[in-house]
This record gives sequence, C-alpha cells and structure tokens, in this order.
Amino acid sequence: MKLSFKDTKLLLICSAALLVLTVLMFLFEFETTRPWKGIQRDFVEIDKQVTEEALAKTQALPDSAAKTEEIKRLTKHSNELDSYMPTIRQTWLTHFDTADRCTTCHLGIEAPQFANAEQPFTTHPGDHIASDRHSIDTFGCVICHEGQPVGLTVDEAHGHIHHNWMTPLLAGKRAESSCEACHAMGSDIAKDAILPDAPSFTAGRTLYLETNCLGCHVAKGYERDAGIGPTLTKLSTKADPSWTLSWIKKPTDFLAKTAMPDFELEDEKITAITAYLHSLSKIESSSSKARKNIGNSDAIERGKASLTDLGCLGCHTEDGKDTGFGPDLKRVAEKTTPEWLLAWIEDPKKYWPATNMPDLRVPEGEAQDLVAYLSTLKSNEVSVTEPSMDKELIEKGMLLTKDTGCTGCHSIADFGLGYNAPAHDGIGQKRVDELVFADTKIHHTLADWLQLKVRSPRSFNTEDMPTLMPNFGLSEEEAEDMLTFLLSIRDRENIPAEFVKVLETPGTAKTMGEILIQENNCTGCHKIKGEGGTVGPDLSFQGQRINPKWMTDFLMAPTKIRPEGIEPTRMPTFNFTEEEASTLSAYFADQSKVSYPYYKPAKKEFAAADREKAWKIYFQTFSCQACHAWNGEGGIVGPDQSDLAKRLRADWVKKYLADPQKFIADVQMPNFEMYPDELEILTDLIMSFNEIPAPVWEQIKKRWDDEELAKQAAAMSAQ
Amino acid sequence: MKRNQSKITVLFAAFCLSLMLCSFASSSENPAVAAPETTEEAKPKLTVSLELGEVTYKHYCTPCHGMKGNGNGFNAGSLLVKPANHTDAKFMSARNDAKLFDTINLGGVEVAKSTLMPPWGVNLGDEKIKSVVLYLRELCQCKAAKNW
Ligand code: HEC
Ligand code: HEM
Repeated sequence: MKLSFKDTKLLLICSAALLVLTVLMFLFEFETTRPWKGIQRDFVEIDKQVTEEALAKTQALPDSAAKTEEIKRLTKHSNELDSYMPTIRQTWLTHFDTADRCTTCHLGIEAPQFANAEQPFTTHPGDHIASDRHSIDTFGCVICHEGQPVGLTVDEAHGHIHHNWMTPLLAGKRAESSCEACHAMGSDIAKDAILPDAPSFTAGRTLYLETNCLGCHVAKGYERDAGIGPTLTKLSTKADPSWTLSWIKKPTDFLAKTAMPDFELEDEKITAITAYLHSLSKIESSSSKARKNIGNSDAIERGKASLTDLGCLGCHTEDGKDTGFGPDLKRVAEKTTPEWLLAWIEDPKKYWPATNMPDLRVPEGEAQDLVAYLSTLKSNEVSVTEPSMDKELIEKGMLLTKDTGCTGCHSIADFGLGYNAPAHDGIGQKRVDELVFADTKIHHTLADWLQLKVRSPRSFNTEDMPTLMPNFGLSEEEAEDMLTFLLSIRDRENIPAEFVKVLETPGTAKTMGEILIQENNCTGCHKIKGEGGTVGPDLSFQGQRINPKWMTDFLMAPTKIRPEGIEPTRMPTFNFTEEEASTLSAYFADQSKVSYPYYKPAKKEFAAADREKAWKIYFQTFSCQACHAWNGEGGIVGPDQSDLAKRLRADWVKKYLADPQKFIADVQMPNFEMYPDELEILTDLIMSFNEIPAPVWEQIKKRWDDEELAKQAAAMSAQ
Repeated sequence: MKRNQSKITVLFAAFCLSLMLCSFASSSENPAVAAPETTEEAKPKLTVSLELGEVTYKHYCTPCHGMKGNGNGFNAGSLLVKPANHTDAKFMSARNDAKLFDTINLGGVEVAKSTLMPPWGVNLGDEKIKSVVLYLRELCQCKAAKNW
C-alpha cells in the first residue's frame, strides 16, 4: 500500500499529539507524586498543631503588651499556614559554591519547638546550628552531613542512589567526621585532646593514636610515633622462648589489657618468629647480686611492702586484672628472670629508652628485696630453655618477623621502626568498587566495610588477597568511634581559609601540662584537681604552695622532701627536660590562678625586737625544731626548712601556718592558733632562712637549746 | 580547749553565733541561709572509742612516742627532751584523765612541761583527744592513782 501525503500528515499529527500527551501526562504524574510536596503538607499539619498549642499557652498568661504581640504573631503564622503552597527551599552557599535544598524537607531544623517531632521535621540537636558558629545560612546541611544537596527524593538527597556515590549522607555521630575539615587535629595536637562537641570523633582519634595504627599505616597530617612496644633485640635476656611462644599466640591470655594485638598466626610461624627473636641475644648468666635474697622470707616481706611504699602500685596492678597504666605483675616471674628484674628496676631506660617507667632511685638492697618478692609472682615453674639454633628456622623467622608487621611497634635488630601497610590517606572517601567484600553479607557501603574491617580485620580475606592486619579486640562502640575518625580522613578542598580554625591550640601551658600529666600517669600516685591516687601528696593546691622555679628544678631531679618516717615514697625521676618541667610548673601555677613566675614580696624591715620575738616563737613558744630540721639537723617529722624559702610562696606559708588542716585534712603539723602578729613575723623569719649562714643558725639554735636544758635542769632540781 | 586569749574569742564567737541563730530562727521563712552557718554542727559527731584513740595515736603521736608508746619514736632522737613513756604505769598513773586531756589539747607548756610536746587541740578536737586518753590508759594498763 502506498500512503498518500495526506495520510502521512495525519499520522504525523496524531503521533505528535500522542507524544505531547504522554509527555504531559508523565510530567503531571511526576508533579503529583513529588514526595517533598507531601512531606511539606504533613509538616504544615504539625506546625498548625504546635502553633495552636503555643497560642493556648500564651492566652493563659497574665495580660501584657508582650502577650498581645505574641498572640498577634501566632495568629498571623496560623493564617499563613492555611494558605501555604509547597515550594522547594534552596540556599545558595556562596562560600562553597553549592546549592543546599535539604530544608525543603527538614523544615523544623532550626526551630526549637519541633524538638519532639519525628524526622525529617525534628530540630537539630545541640546548639550547633542555633549558634552563629555553624549558621545554616553559611554552611547549609551538606558541608557537615554530605549527601547530594540538590536531590529532592530521600534517596537522591542522601546519596543512596548509587553505591558508588562519593559522598553518602553522614548521619548522627558520623557527621562528626566533618569537623576536622575546619578544625585540624593532626599530630601536633595532643593524643587525648578533645574536639569540643565531637565526642565520637575525639574518642576515635584517641583510639587510633593509642592503638598505634600509625605504626603500620601512614595518614596525612599524622606522624609515626616512637615504637609503643619494647625493643625485642635483647629478648633472650628477659624472657624464655616458651613464654614468647605462648605470648605471641594469645597476648591477652597473659595480660588482659595489653596493647599487643592478636596476629592469629599458625603455630609453625610463631615457632620460627620466636627462634629468630631469641637468636638476636643470649640468656644472661645467673648473677648472685640479683639472686641474693631469692627465697628469703624476710626479704620477700620487705619487698612486698616496698611495692606499696615506693608507689609501684600507682601504675601497676597485682591482682591479674591488668587495669593499671603499666602491666599487671601477678605473673611477672613467669615471664622474666631475677637478673632482668634487678637491671630493670635499677634503670628501666637502659633496657628500653622509650619506656614510660620512671627511675625510682631504688638503693641496691631494696631492689634486691623487690626482686625477691617479684620472683614469687608466678603460678607455675618457669622453664629455662636454650633458644633453637636451627639456621633455616631462624632465617624463616626473620622473613616472617618483617612481613607480619612486628616492626610497627617494636624496634628489632636492624629493621627500621614502621611497616608499609596501605596508607590511610583518603580512606574516608574510598569508592565502594575499590573495596573487596569477599563473601561477607554486609551492605556494600564504605561505612559497613570499615566497621567490619576494624573489628574483624581478616573478614575480607580471599585466596589471592590475604590481609595480615591483626585483631585489636575493639568493642562495638570503639569500632563506631574508630569509624567516625576514619571517615574524617578525606580530602575537603573547598574549605575557604576563613573557616579554618584550630580549636585545640597546641602549646599552651594548660594543654601541654595535661598531656605530660597523662603521659606520665602522675594521677597514678597524686591527686590532681581532686582526682587520683594517694601514694604521693595531693597536688591540687601545689600551684599556690610552691615556687615554680623550685618545682622545675625538682621535677628534673627530684629529691626527698618529706622525711622517710612520714612518707616512705620517693618521687621517681622521669628525666623531664627543662622545657617539660617548666611547662608543668606553669600548669600548676595556672591551675591555682597564681602568678608564674613567682615574685617574692618586697622585703619588710622588721625591728630587731621583732626578729628576736620571732626566734623565740620558733624555738620556744612552738618549738618548730621538734619536727623540722635545718640542713639535716633536727626533727624528722616535717620537711627540712633550710631551703624552704626557695620552695614555698610566702603568702601560702602564712595561710598554712594559720590553718594547716585546711590544706591537708590529717596533717601531722599542729595548728598553733597563732595571733596575726605572730604569723606575720614568723612567716617573715622562715622565709629568710636561706639567707642565714650555717654558723649563725647554729649559734642561735644553741642559745635556745641551752635555755631549754636549763629549764629542764631547774625542773629536775625542783622535784 | 584554746589558749587564754582565744577562749574569749570563742566565747564571743559563740555569743555572735547564738544571736545569729536566734535571728534566723525568728525569720524562719528563709531557712536555707541558716544552713551554712551551722556546718560545725552538721559534721557527724565522732564517738569516743578506743579504736579511734588507737588510730589517732598511731598517726599523730608515734613519730615521737613510738609505735609501742615507749617514747622511742623515729623522731625522738632529735629532741632535747625525751618524749614520755606511755607504757610506764607509774608515770602515767600520776596523771589523771583531765590532765592528760589538757596536755594533749594545749601541749606540754600547759602542764609546765616542755614545748617540744606540741598542742593538738585544733587538729584533733575533743572526741579524738578523749579517745586518745582511753588508748593511753590501755598502753599503760593503769588508772590514775587518785582523782585530784
Ligand atoms: C614532736 C614530738 C611529739 C609528738 C608528735 C607528741 N609528743 Fe607527747 N611529748 C613529747 C615530749 C618531748 C614530751 C616530754 C615533755 C617533757 O617531759 O617536758 C611529751 C610528753 C607527753 C606526755 C606527758 C606529759 C606529762 O605530763 O609529762 C603525754 C601524755 C603526751 N606527750 C602525749 C602525746 C600524745 C597523745 C600525742 C599525740 C596526739 C603526742 N604526745 C605527740 C613529744 C611529742
Ligand atoms: C611554729 C612552728 C612550725 C613552723 C613555722 C612550721 C612550718 C611548716 C611549713 C612552712 C610547712 C610546709 C613545708 C613545705 O611544704 O616545705 C610545714 C610542714 C609540715 N610540718 Fe611544720 N612547722 C612548725 C611546727 C611543726 C611541728 C611541731 C610539727 C610536728 C609535730 C610539724 C610537722 C609538719 C609536717 C608533718 C609537715 C608536712 C606536711 C606535708 O605533708 O606537706 N611542724 N611546717
């Protein structure tokens, strides 16, 4: 059949009309089903209800101009709602060159009256957007929560349209991973620094640094730390191969809270690694010095007391719970020998320069007692076996040691510290198709992948892609925080410089002081800000008490202040540098809100008669010398007073003498109920002690001693 | 329990306090304000006991009088006057409880003895001192010879 021109024309017109109709119908269909319109209508209903409730509440108030004003406003708003036409809401974020349409559905986000409404209408939690700091007009929602800001369906807007969408929605805690974009928290900021309002990120970051992920991985902005494990080059001098075997197999069997992860290695690999590690050094020959008091029950008793008196238990536990700052000691003798223990106690940094354990300046005899006691801490006999000499096994062990990543935490022979696991740069924006899910059944999203990876690292192992990452035993909550942190490692190039604001300023006395206190576990022994141990004196008020210059010197090279009989504990030597020590003394001054440095008050001139009266008070009325020595001569209840003027702040001394119990509730220094004038001249006298030459002091003391003796003689003869 | 001049101060303070308490009592609509003024009384009152006496003695007295109470504390060697031997029944029975109380409360000077024996009244308070006296009697296994 041959179609005429007329037919063709008709056909064309018909099909064109059909096409237009279909397109129109399609458009109409889409229009009526646009979900945001329905959402906005729902919101209007809720808003009406909320407005009505507010109106009723306002009407119940006593009459005032403000009430009339409020009623007018609410009524107007209610009327507006009646004629509301759904509209797309879009903010143009000028600083970021992007549109943000999220408030098209999240209509109550800025209004506090919707706090109890369901999503998507609920008010934003916290005061993040209510305050000017993170105004929604500047940042929209997308800068923190990601997603696809121009999307108008739930899936589109939240970036769930395609599993490879680069920026899926960061809901809840996960939005905290965006804070870092403006508020940098790299290596130069303390491990335990807190990013305000981002608790999950903060916890994740601390965990990331403390677990030493950086031992094996690298990440932009973060630097590799010194090894967090002890050196293994001298292992044979410390442990027996049988112990090493069982330790590598399951570290938490021996120390419940150890930082050493489980590498899930096969037995033959462990044997080879053990052989290699022990081939690096030799067993130390038995030393009579270390074993002098072994088995001596008196020495063991003394050693046990020393463990408390020296403050060891400020950091270590002894009950097997391993909850201390240092390792638990309940089974220490199963691991090591008296020879190693003695050498370690005498100088921990000699074996492992990076250790946190301070030098306790233990005299040899006491160290021997401690060794005797510690050597009893075992539940089974320790075997002493020669390490294997099998060349082939050792060779194999060496390769395995290198491959397994032991060097991420330990320094071993000539291997450098660190390991080349994949870099973490950009891990928070990895494409899903770059990830291997193996045969796991989890959702194919980056967040799900990361979460499983940190909790159970070997889950994605395949035949040709084995992973060596060990298991750190993270809890579900820890894994969630770690995820928040990992998601923060993504490139955010569109942040204008004006918004970059480092919140945790590195380098102030307060934060640096707190880091040092944490790193050295001062609160294991001392109370600081009311919290901590009771092994050493309470440091909460030391700022007002101590001259910071003296404190700096003391921290660098501590000496004994309080006599042995009152306080057996010695402050250990932490080998602080001058900078660290002065940071700490500035920190304590800052805590007590006193000047740093300390300026001695201007010298007051006292009449000779007042000076004489002060001496009488010191030696006779109150007999301070009964408890306090001067240059090592005299009472040994309170601290020696010859260098007291360099140590203390004058204003504190005066307050202390007036009421010593105010500072130390059970202080063994009497309250003498001094009169103000006595206080004045006595404080002045003792704050000048360092200016008195020794012969002069002795002369004065002798005078008062003679008087005391004469009194005694008189009393005797009177009897 | 105080040195002479402060006895007057205490009396005066007590007088002021009672005046204040009276005025608070009359304006009873504001009881919250009165509370901090009475912290002294709010402190749980200690009960006098031998145990309390022993703990107190071991903490405050043993540096001079020794763990056994025989006057040989670690600090005794540095004192010109030997601390009293509290296990000496003859010596201790020559002092009645009131005198021991005064000695501890106001120091050696109160009983015409050496000032090397410090006053403990403010640090300890009446209950602890009375408890220490009980413990002293336990140490010497003696009573006061007569109650003068
Ligand atoms: C700084 C050392 C020191 C301390 C601390 C000390 N005393 Fe004394 N005490 C002495 C000396 C010295 C004497 C002897 C005084 C003398 O014979 O003149 C003494 C004497 C005494 C006497 C006998 C007084 C007399 O009548 O002869 C008693 C009772 C006494 N002390 C009780 C105590 C008690 C209770 C404590 C604890 C709350 C205590 N002392 C703490 C040094 C001390
Ligand atoms: C009026 C005479 C006395 C004066 C002027 C005096 C002064 C002081 C001062 C200034 C301090 C703080 C020391 C420092 O931190 O370096 C102190 C502490 C101390 N004093 Fe005295 N003292 C006197 C009498 C006594 C007596 C008689 C005793 C014992 C019974 C005593 C026991 C102590 C003790 C135990 C401390 C240490 C408190 C602590 O742990 O910080 N003092 N004294």
